[in-house]
Amino acid sequence: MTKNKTKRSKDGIEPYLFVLPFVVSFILFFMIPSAYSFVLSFYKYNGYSTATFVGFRNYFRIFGYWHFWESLVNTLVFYVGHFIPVFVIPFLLALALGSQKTKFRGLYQTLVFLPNIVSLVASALVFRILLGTRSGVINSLIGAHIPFLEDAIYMKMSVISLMVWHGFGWFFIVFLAGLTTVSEELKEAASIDGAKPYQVVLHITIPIMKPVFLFAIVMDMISTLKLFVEPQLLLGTSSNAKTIPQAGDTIITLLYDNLNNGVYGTASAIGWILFLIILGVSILQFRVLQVGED
Amino acid sequence: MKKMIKTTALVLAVFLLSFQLSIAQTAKTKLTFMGWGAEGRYHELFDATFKAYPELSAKYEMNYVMESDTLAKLRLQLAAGGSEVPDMMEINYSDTAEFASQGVFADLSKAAQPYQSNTMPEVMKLAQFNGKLIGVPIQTKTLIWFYRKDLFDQAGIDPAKIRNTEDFIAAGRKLHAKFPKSYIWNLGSQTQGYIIAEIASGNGARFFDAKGNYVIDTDPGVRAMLLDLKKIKDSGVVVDMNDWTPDWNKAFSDGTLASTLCAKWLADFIPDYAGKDLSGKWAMALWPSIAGAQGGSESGGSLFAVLDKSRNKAAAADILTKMWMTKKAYDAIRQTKTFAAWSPILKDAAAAPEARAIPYFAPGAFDTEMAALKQFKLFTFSPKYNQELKILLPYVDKCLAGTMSADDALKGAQKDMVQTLENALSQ
Repeated sequence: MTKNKTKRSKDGIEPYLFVLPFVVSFILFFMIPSAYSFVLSFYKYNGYSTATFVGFRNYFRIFGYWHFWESLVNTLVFYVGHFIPVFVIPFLLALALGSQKTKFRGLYQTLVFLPNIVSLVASALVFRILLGTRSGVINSLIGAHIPFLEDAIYMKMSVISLMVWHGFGWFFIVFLAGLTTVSEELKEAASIDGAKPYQVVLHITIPIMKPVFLFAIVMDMISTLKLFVEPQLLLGTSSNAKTIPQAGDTIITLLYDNLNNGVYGTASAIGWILFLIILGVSILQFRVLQVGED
Repeated sequence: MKKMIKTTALVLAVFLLSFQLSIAQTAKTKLTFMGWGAEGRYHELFDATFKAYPELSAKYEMNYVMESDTLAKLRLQLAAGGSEVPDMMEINYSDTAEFASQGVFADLSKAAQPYQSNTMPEVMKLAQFNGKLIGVPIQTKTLIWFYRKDLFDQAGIDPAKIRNTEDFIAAGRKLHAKFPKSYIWNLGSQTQGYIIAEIASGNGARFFDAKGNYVIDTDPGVRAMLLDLKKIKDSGVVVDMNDWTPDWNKAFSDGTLASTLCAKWLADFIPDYAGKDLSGKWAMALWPSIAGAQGGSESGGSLFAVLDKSRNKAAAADILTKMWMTKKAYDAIRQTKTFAAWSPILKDAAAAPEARAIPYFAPGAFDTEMAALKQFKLFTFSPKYNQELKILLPYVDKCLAGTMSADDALKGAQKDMVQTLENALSQ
């Protein structure tokens, strides 16, 4: 009886012991810093002098600064601009290369995924060489001086191109893995019933892959709303590439600028605003993509 | 057996004791230096100084910490209590105000006292803050007009005769007429912050008044700077090209850029960009007076500072003052490849014949630099300078692109500075 009781109590504790390392590190390295940054967002603090309580002033200042709205719009442009190419094309490629009938599938899959494993820094440097206004490879080939990295619109297109090129492979692999969840028998049955290939994709593959799409869309949205490295590397115009034109600024750039200048209160406030934006968009995406499941 | 064990233990104890003593005798004080870029250049500096002063080498050992953003790192270290701050660090003059106003740097006045008489007073301005010597100047960013002597000679342009903005534009036209693919300067869609500081330091422009209130929309120096830059851009004598782009790098070698207004530090880059073939063809001249500026500097220059929270303040001060304030160390440093082109900042070093040789550039570069040093002026940087610049530059870009008037640009910058920064001197 006592032995059984001890075993039961052991069984009861064991799962908690397994998750304990994660819970402790989550509290230490995520919850506490997050709570601290939330408190900090109501203070004026440069990191080493006295912190002054300023209430909601940091938030009001951010909302009253037109560049915050410009950065938000830029971030959304980058998100919307890259979304369709990295979503539709890799899906179609995954459909094509996922088929058993395709020859050299392994080779094609490797080639498509290759850009994703190339360092982003190296990719951006190559893009800079390709897109230079006067000595860039593309302009030299077409004999023009298109300001790919300088004009407000072209520079956004250049950043989107880099995002698409670099992110393409990740979506492809996710969709390829997702396609394995679609039963071949089901597709065959539909074909026997007279469904055409596009109908199989529309009515069987896509609905079954909805959870995969949801995962890909949410992950991509979070990473794109936190976009920082791509514009920084591609559009940086000072010796240390820290200065990028405002037309290429994202919300994280604004946060980084404040952090970099020791304006920790404002940086924290921007971080929390971004958190609320991501939360809102995620809820929206979950709701929209879950409608069909009912 | 017991006796043997006792003897062995005794021998071992004596051995360990003597070993500990020898360690204690030879242990050197470890000092940490924080800088940016290639670690090797700092190694060269300290090695050269330690070679010149073997007694330093006997006492101290260096440890280098390279950071891509030394200021952010310093802020974090200070926020964490300051126990992990380095003993010494490199910092640009334009960044010193924020930290010096909070007493982050040690006062080196006493350590520098023996060497003060040999230092150039213009250079020492860089390291003074509220009566304290907050570091040792290592480099002055004097204003230099770099130009292709061969192209200028063929076009009949004498830089010494170019006095102001109008002359500069006329020279640009003359050059472009002779060499249609060459331009006298580049001003792209993204103006560099250093251009602002270069002109503003020379014409007395200010972003804020004595109380820290922003006055950028009413300051005559800032307005003159904006209008003159616009005049130059609209004249068509400059190529529409941003600095630090692949195009810009190539423009130094392919003749697109026949000259550029910049600061002395560009001399470290031109040999690489322009290539060996143009050695001796690039020359240096004084800036013409743009926007009424007479001399000036770009962000002043750089310093090596000792952190007030360092545990080895005296040792760090001893090393730095010897390194940058004695000719003995200067001579050793000049022997290194990296610092061969650096300007002397000591009177006796500047007077030495060997200082006159500036590799790669046409003869006369040293005299130009010394003349530029005589006109050395500093811009009044606030602790929020980097944030101010981030606000101002897009307005400058819009004005130069013709999408916004100078009035609207200055008013916009003023409004944004007040909105986001409130006061230039408040923490």
